[in-house]
Amino acid sequence: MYSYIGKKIISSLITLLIVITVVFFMLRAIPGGPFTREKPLPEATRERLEEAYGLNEPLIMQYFIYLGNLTQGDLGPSFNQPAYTVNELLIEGIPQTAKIGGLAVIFIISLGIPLGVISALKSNTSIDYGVTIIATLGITVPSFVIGTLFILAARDISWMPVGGLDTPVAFIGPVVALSGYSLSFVARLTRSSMLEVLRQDYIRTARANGISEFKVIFKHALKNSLIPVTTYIGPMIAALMTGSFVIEKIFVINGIGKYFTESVQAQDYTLVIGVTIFYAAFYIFMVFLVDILYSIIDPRIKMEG
Amino acid sequence: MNNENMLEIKNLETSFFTHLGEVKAVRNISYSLKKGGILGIVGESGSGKSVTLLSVMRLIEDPGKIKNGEIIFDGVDLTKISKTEIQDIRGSDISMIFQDPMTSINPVFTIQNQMVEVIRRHMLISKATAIMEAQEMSNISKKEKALKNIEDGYLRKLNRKEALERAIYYLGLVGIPEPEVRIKQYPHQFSGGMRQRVLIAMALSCEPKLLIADEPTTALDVTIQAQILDLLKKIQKELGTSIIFITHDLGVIAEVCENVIVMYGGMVMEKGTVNEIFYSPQHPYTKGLHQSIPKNISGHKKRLVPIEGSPPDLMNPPKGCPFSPRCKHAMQICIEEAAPLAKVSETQYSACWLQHQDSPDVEGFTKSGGVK
Amino acid sequence: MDKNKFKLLETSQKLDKEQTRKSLTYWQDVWRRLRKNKLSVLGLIGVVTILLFATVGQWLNPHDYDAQNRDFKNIPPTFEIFKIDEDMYVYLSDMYELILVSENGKLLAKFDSSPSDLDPITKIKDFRLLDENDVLITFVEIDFSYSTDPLKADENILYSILYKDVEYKETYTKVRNVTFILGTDTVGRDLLSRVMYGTGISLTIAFVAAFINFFVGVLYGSFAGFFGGRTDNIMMRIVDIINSIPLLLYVILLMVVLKDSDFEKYILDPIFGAGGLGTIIIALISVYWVGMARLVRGQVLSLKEQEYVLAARTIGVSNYKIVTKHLIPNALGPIIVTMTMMIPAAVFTEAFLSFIGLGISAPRSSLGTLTSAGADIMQTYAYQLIVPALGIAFMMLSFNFLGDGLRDALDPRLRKG
Repeated sequence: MYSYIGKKIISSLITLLIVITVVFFMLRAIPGGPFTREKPLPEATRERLEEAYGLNEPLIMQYFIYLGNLTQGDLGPSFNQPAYTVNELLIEGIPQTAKIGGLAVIFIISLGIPLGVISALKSNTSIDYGVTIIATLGITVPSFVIGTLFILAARDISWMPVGGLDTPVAFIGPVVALSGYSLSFVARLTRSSMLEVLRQDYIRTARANGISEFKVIFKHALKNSLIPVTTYIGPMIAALMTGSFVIEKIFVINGIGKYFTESVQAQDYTLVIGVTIFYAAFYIFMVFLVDILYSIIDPRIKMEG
Repeated sequence: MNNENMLEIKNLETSFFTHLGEVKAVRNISYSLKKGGILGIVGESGSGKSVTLLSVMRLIEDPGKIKNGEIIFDGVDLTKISKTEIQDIRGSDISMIFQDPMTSINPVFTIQNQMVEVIRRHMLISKATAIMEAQEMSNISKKEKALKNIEDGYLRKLNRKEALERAIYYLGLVGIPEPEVRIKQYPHQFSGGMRQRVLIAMALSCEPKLLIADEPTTALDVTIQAQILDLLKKIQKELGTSIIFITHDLGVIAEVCENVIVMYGGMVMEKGTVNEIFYSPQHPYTKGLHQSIPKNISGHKKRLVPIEGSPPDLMNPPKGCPFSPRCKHAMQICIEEAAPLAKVSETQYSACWLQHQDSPDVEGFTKSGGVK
Repeated sequence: MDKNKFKLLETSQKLDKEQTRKSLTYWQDVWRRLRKNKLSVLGLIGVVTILLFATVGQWLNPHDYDAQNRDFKNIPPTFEIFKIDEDMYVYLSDMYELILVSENGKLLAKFDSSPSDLDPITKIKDFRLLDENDVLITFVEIDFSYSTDPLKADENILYSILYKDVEYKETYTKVRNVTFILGTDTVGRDLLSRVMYGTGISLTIAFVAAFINFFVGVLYGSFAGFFGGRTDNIMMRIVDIINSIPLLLYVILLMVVLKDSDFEKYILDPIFGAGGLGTIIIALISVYWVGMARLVRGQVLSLKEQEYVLAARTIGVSNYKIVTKHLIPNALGPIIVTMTMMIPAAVFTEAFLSFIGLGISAPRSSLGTLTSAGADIMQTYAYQLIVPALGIAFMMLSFNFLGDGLRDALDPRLRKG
């Protein structure tokens, strides 16, 4: 068990290092730099700026300086907003993004799984068809369409704010738009895996042993049908994280998604690398947690690694 | 009602109402099983042998339905009782073990979890234990109340520790070494034969009066098969449990059963004692089954005689005898009307028109006294 | 009882119910199962409709996707007209431009007007109808005082139209825009043409990306799976690392790196045309092949244990032949399904990129850029968002239904209950 976790941690760190390296050199390959954009700066000013940010050093030196700073948790200053460091921007953005993301995860799990179970138990009834139709729409209608339609509708509803996160009601739009896809996916996945599990021999065994229908479904069937759902949690987090790029844009939320898209367009190296590292680290950590969770739910997974 | 019978099935009809039409899986079946007896049911896939017993357990799932008939178990008609009542009977009075032990145990719970769940679902402590417990109470009024409750028949359920002890005992009984260690393990840590033993232990743990074994050895290799069969025989002898044994393997029947029922196309073709079915079968289908078993008794090899054709389409079964399209001795009447079960001897009955006095003489078939 | 009935029958007289079923080839069987599934047939019809829409549709439509009609900007698909004379109808657009229309909704001409034509006191604005030589034909006045004068607030209208000393306060009727069926965009381009063209571009991106992904993924996956051992380990380690952060992040980074680079200018644009189409395709394929590679590897790993591969080996078939002749055809089912699903995923990703400002640049359009552009002005011109958004949803729905149906048809074991 411990050696399994240890191995996982080491391989996660290696992956993270590779991601940092790739992103670092990829961005430095962009023609032009952050100070050679629309309005060309005077040569002298540019050189001074580049010196101040260490851009005049050889590339490989810049890389090691960056790595060195990184080990101390320093992501450097933002090129475009010199008043701020990347750390400050991240700290400002994370709570907003985390709030929507966290709520979305709760929303998805607490609604998607029960919907899938109900749909499976009532398969081929109008309830099932209703859930299936909604789930299909959720998968096929892009989140930004749901989001913009939400704002379009909010114009006519006085108590519904069209952006920001100032009131509790304001969370409804972003969370629903962000969850749409994953919620539908979880519901569909739960439904099909529940149906599959209910056909299994061990369910018949449980019934033949006189176990009540409630326990058959919520103990014996549910735990098994959650196995494929657990494997989806990793991709789901990825979907939520990248999904928040557009959601934050539509609903005017100052989260890290917004910083990321802005920094990408502005070629703000340090901010792009900073946000990417944060995303990658977070994602790798979540996948690691899911791995552990998975092995707890399914005893057949070998922990020896 | 014959009180010696553990189970009596009368005119049972079970059908599956699929979107293509009604599949008549069991068509008007009647038979009975004596208390403490071992009954074998033999037939090929789709003959309705499993569906009959799943009907007994009321485990027929949508779109299947018991259309007609009675299933009298220990004086109670199982088709008439409520869902909760049949749930109380399942696993306690009637237990069932299934064909594939690899898939019949829930993979995500330990054996302990699953066995304790079943035991605590059904088992109450014995009266003697209850009285002993009550005697140890210090509070007089509480003690008297407890004793009175016991007199009235209120016994508490087994607690976790007692259920665990019981589970370990039964695992040991079915021959699992170190049961107290292995009970903590998950199903995937057991081999196929061991899993079938676990399932048998689980089925026996609530002292059922009737054990239904649905092809329990089919998925196992031959040496393990023999062990499981011996185990079932031992259980029947020592615990007095009645057993119904479903199989398509005549060899298995010969080894364990006292009485045999031969099914085909959802109907009973022939029934009798093991000796009768093996040494003087009176139905062409039973004879066909015998000829299709490899035998090498006398030392010289004989070519196997397969039964030509394939089993009937139960969506649209033949009007008469289901076996008539494949029967060597089919007559006009066989196509038009299914033969009733006619008495051959005190214990043997055969549903074949060859028993009828008007039918031509065919070697190996005796005629009964006429249509019963 | 009739004794004749007790005569043994000849074999020919027996009612043998055994039916000889017509045997179907694999693809006939797939087609039969696909047809049985109503939703997937709907999906197939939808996909064909989309393909026709993007190809034949563009050819039938009289307007070009990039032709700007400066006179008719932001004209919606339906609008309210005023009848101001016998056979004279006008429409005041949301941009306060007055347009001469026919009774059935044909756009005829724009009235000439400039901000200086507005009388600051009376709030009456002049609109002049000119002929080709800028000679005045007639003129119309619009009284905007209704929206500002508190005394006129009771009327509950924003303006009235004055023509030949008659005031028109009520619209005559609502008509459909027959010149531009789905209206025009902010620079007066026909929205229908743009949606058709955009559908074509989205499909091009999706199909090219899916096909290249298919080849790269299949080659990579099958070689990793086939050779196994150390090769497999290293190859899959690379896949794992790519997979260890959300793929969209890479796509965005790649887009940023490639956009306006020499590579785009000298290699991609000459192949795929201007506007960054090639960049999007490259970004998509350089990331999404990993899913296909993993799938194929899994398939190959399980298939290569099969006896027929051993049989092929024992008679000395080369590795290359075993991969191409035995393994790939057998793994084809799930691969086709994954490809079908890759197409909507690529459309989705492209739309997503457009939405955060990394899409194809104007005048070329994709469904994503159209939706994104529509979202910016949705408060006033909602139709410009709704039309391309419905287009995306319809496309996603069709491909998903078809993909689901194909999965069931190609592998009945996976059939959902």
